[in-house]
Amino acid sequence: MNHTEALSVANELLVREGFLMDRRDWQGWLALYAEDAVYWVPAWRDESTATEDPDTEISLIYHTQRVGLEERVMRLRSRTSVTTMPLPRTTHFISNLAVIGANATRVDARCSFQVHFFEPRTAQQRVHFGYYEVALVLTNDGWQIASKKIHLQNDCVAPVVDFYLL
Amino acid sequence: MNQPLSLHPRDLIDDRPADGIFGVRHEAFLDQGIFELEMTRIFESTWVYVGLESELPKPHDYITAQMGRVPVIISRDADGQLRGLLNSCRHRGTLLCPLKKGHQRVHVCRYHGWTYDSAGRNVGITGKESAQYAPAFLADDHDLVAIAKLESYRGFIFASLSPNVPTLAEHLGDAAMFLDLVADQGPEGLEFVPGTVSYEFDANWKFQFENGLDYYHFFPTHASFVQILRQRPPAEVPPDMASDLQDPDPEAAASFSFPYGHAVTWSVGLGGQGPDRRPLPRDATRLAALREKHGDERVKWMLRQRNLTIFPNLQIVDIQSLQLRHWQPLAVDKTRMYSHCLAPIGEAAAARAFRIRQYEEFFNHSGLATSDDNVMYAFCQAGYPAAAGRMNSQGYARGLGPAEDRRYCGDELKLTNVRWTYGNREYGDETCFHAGHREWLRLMTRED
Repeated sequence: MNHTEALSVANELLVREGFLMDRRDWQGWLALYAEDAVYWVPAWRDESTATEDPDTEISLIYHTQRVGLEERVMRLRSRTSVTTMPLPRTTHFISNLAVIGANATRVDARCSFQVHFFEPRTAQQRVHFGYYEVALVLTNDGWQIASKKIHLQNDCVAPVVDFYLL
Repeated sequence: MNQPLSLHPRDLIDDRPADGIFGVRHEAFLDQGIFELEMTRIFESTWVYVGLESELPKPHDYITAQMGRVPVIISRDADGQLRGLLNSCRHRGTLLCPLKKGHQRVHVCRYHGWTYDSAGRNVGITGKESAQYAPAFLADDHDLVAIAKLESYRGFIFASLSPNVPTLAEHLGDAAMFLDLVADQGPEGLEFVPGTVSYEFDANWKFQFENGLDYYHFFPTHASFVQILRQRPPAEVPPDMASDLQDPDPEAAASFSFPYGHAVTWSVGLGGQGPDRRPLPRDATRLAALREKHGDERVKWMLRQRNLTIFPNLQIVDIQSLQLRHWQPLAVDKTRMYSHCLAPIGEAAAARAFRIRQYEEFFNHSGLATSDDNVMYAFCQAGYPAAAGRMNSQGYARGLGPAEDRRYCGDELKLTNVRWTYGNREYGDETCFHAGHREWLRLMTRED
């Protein structure tokens, strides 16, 4: 696969992912992830260094199977978690997309992200921002996310951080 | 800011347990004047938790913290002695250390270059010879101002900006036993797992103080978390995990309250928090060594679910993982939390990884439970004005009535100066909040 094709695979998948979250199509969003997908949001060791080893350091979120994400969707849908009643309205943006490596069945890429979110109860709005590092793989179900590492720069401003805000 | 105090703290607490009544008026959580007074009379006048000794193990290591509105440095000097210093240059009051932690033989103020050693002594005034200083200046002390009191108990560092406090030992009283139950888990000491999780919630700090002791909220507030636990396949238990972990006592939820505002709630057999979900037994060798050293009874207490509050700003929660959290009130309706995963130094790798996953899942604001607490505090902050002007005695009432089949259990830990309650697992004690509010009132109305 050439560079332009790889860019287009990554761009298409990441834009679709944001769109599915903004549309609250959770099944569609989960389907983008491989069953053994790694979903990782490191925490911060100090002012400028993120944690690097999930087995010896704290992460904000660390799942090594899609089931971790499925549980988060379950919590959101349970209508028993006050955090999601009501859910914030979100708009996801990505930009500065770069392909780091690619072959016929795998694309490694990184990009910057912003998520703007608005809380209807309080009319508060906030922004999460940072960058993603992703590995995308071609499976029988098409291109899927094999791993997504989310570097959240402003980790300590909101009372909640979850996948739909990242 | 300087609005006159419209309310007197003594009118905000109704403390009549003999009549079965304890109440707090909602203005204690809402009023700007009360908040200002809390900063002055509580956070800037009594013992507050400021850090863990293992955060600054070597000479010249330091951490920074906030005591009320006052920024401070906790530094280990060249001799290894802990020093508590105001984080403010003597020259123009500039914040001296802008970082959370570090290692510095000398601290140089970035504004005009005044320099201090790690004991806080002034070791350099830029251009002193050319300064045309008056003798009065030269005779003056230019060292960093020391915090009035700084003491450490089992590695937990506390400080007070006012000298008018009891010793730390008297302040902690028998609540120290519950710090022991944590400290004893790490024969080589305790450490924070790298990665502080910090977040803010839009509500008064006292909601966190109360909620950290509140078992009654667990199933309603965390229903979605409990639901997730229930649908999971049973947790894999390592084959070498000791088979004698079952608590010998009946299922219970109970509390101890101490002088100076501290309290602990504890339970046996509360859902989803059994020994198979705790990190401590995952390191079988160390657990056996703890039994050897401290005896089965103490280990039984280590394995019990315990929520400890050291008034006014520290909670240590030993449930599915071990958390230390403390807080900094930012405004009457805004609080910043600092959360750490606490672990024994030298723990086996598999037990450590298990501890971390268990911690993230429950205690992170990006986990499956804590954000529900944070949002609930904001709901309380939003709901409280509705009942302002009346005493709320409905939310402090569980446990004030007569009870049968109570078991003291405090003799097992040699507790002497303690109030206690005991009930079944649905009991949900609320008298454990009283001690903190009593101490709040004592400090708020103290004549200095």
